[in-house]
Amino acid sequence: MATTHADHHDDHHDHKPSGFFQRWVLSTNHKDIGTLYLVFALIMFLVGGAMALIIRAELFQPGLQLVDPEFFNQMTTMHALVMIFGAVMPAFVGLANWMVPLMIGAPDMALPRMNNWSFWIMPFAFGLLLLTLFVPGGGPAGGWTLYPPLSLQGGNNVAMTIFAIHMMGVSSIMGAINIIATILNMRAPGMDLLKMPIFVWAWLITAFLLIAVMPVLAGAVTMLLTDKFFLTSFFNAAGGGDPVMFQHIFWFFGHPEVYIMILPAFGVVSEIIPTFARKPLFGYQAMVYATASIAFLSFIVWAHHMFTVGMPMGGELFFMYATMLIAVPTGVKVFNWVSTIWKGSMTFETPMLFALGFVVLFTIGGFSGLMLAIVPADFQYHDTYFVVAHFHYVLVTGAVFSIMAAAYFWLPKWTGHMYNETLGKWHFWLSAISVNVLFFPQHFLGLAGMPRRIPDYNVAFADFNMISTIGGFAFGFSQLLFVYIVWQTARGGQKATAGVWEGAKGLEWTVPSPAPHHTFSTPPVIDDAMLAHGNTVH
Amino acid sequence: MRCWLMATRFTEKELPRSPSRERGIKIMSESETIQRQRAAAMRTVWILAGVALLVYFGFIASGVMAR
Repeated sequence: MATTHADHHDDHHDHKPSGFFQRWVLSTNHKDIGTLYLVFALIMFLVGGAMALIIRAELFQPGLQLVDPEFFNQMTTMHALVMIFGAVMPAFVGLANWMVPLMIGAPDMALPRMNNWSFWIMPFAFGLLLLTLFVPGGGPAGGWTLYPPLSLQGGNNVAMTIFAIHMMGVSSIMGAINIIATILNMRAPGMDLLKMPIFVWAWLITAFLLIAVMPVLAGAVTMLLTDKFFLTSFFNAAGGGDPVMFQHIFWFFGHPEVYIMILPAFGVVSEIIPTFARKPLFGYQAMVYATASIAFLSFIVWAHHMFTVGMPMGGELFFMYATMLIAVPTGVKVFNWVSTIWKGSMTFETPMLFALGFVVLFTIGGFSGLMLAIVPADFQYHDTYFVVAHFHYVLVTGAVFSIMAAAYFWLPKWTGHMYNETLGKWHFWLSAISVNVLFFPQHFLGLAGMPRRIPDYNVAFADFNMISTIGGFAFGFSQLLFVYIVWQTARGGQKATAGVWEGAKGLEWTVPSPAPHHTFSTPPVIDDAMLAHGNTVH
Repeated sequence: MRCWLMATRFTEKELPRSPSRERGIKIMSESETIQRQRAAAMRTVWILAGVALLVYFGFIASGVMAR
């Protein structure tokens, strides 16, 4: 693999700040802040996972076994908030921090100090959110969707939760602004927009989504706050307000939020599959346009989450067809991944296994999403375990699997060491089998009529719940293997080369492993041969 | 497609000298390059921050007007 002249320059100027506080708390380095995001996301993944295990333990058998219903509701609410805002989103922001500047040949993010601030808001936001579990009345229990009037019936937790959400929003918006400013202004000469890696494209589009919808969530929860403490009655029917309006505003944020969590995953998988298929990505430009189309469509489908509130037939039809339309660009992506694999010289290292697992299992989640888009069917499926199965296939075997794939793919670049491939494969197979044992039976539970967010259920649902819980614990404990592999790789192991993978292409693979503290201080001179998409005709 | 502001990343070292001089293109020093790049990044930041604030207050204002 060709190297840039910047490597030698960087080798001699790898000055990390000395001292823990200087290096990690005051850091303005994109790699260190990326590491902070990823470590934070891993901790939140374990916290949110522990909450999921409490939920699954309670549901192991019918009847109330371990926790009281109020605490169960707090667990379902907090599990979602922690996993969405604390684990999946920060993990992708961490990946963006680490990889976007390396992929476009930039020396750092455009605004390094704001980058530091974006990260350090997060621990305080989640500290505040988790503290609600210890205040009188406990944490929020009305579901992550915070629908009024239920969400306003909480005790002291309401103000704390809303303030925590505001802080998460500020962090996300600042991170998104930084990513856009970096991609638009800091690309190395020759790194045209349509030569950028797909991961960078996916993040550019995701960042625009974040800026468009996080303020909507902030506005919605601000109105909730004033309803609770200043009696404004935005959503209070007794005061002339409309609780359904909250649902519209929430889902105007909430549906694009789903794509905020999945578009970067598409980007990751689009980097990994060509590497291990040893072929260029099939249909590069189609992938870019498909990502943009999905982002656009995400703004016009929000009401499919609330068909059952009652809306005019025309509205139901519009949102049904608009939702189904998303299958077209998503199908383009799946087709292109499969076409990239086709006749490729494939090997199945752990990142590739997770990426292929993503393609198969995410597609299952996509298909059940299509089922939910059908209005008359949705009246049956709404608020059942079918919905729970659907979005966990999208978010766990979709987003989380892609994060795992990304971690294995780039870990040698981050640490300078190869991970233990045997353990990595064990991690994949344990996760892939257990996650299906966990979530697949939930489709049947939902179709049989088991509602979501309940701690007790009819004995008719006992068998599938027991299977699901066994799968849940197996999946949960399998992730401890991942923690061990990351720890082991960070501490040492076989030295990684700059290129790491035989089929790897792109600027990030031209710098040594581990990537020096400062890279591309002088813009690299790029020739198309070193880029994954450099020879794309456009 | 050309990258906008891409030229700001060129420094004296990298640009081919004679053709540029012939065309009368001013080659920027390293510090000028960094300054222009920083100014462009700040413009992007303020525009995007403005959009975010507009959406936030716009949604609350529409909520107030709906009352």
